[in-house]
Amino acid sequence: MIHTVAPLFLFLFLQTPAPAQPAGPALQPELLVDQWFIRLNALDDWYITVNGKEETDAVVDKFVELYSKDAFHEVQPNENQLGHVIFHGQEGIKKWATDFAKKHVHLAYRIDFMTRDEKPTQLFYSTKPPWGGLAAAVEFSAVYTNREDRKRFMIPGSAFFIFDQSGKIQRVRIYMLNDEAEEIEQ
Amino acid sequence: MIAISAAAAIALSALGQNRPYDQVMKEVGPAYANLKKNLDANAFPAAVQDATKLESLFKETENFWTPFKTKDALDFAKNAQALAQTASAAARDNNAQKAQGAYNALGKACKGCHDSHREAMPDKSFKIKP
Repeated sequence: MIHTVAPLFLFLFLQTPAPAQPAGPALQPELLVDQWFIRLNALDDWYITVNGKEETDAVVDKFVELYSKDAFHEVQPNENQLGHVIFHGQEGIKKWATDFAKKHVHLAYRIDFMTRDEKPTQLFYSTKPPWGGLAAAVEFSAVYTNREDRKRFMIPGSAFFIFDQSGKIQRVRIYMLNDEAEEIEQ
Repeated sequence: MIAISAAAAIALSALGQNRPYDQVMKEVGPAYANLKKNLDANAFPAAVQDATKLESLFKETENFWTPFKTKDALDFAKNAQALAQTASAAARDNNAQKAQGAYNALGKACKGCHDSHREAMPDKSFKIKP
């Protein structure tokens, strides 16, 4: 008898569905992207000690927390490098954020508003990639003052994010339209 | 006493060593107040000493900001040195009006730099903004 029903029990056991994975909270592009801008703008919120030490670590670490361990942060060329510049991993991104924090003050990067039919809104373009997580993009205006020469600029830009399932940034690509940069009043 | 601390400041500057910035700033207030008091009393030799001390303190201020290349702070510090020099020269010439003018402009230079680079904390202490 046991020999007759055993294969049936085995068959039924194998057919039992695995317990469902608890679904995490749905990723909200507005909150994730907003948080990136908040922490980017906080990169000027540090002090110099009375002995001349630049204490950027706290704000930089807070910014880097938003990235996954193997994230990519991709930006425009600068005076130190030609072409597309890629920072990889939290140490690489920490270097970018530290340099950025030490070069700029009065940061006021903001997501642009669009208005149609007298209805203003900030547009967060988002999609779900086939591998999970979330992708999002925004147009923004970069407003900042150079720390050294105290000149203030506004530059239009756009940022494209890929977030993993936990909401950490896997990749961000930032484009700045330097040809449209304008020097503005303090 | 003033001469000794000014000499110490000059020696430290010459060695490329900066005193803690708060120490420098805490000496500016009393020296600035003394300059006013001595100018009001037409005590010109004492006013010259005060202005000379201020000049060396603002040189230390400039030294603090030099590695950061922060233009506005460096401009304020250099302008303050020039104004302290003017006050000193005017006091030496017993020219109270000119010395008072430099004293007033010096106050504006201090305020300009504080507005840009000094932030008051809730415990009433101050921090240095980049």
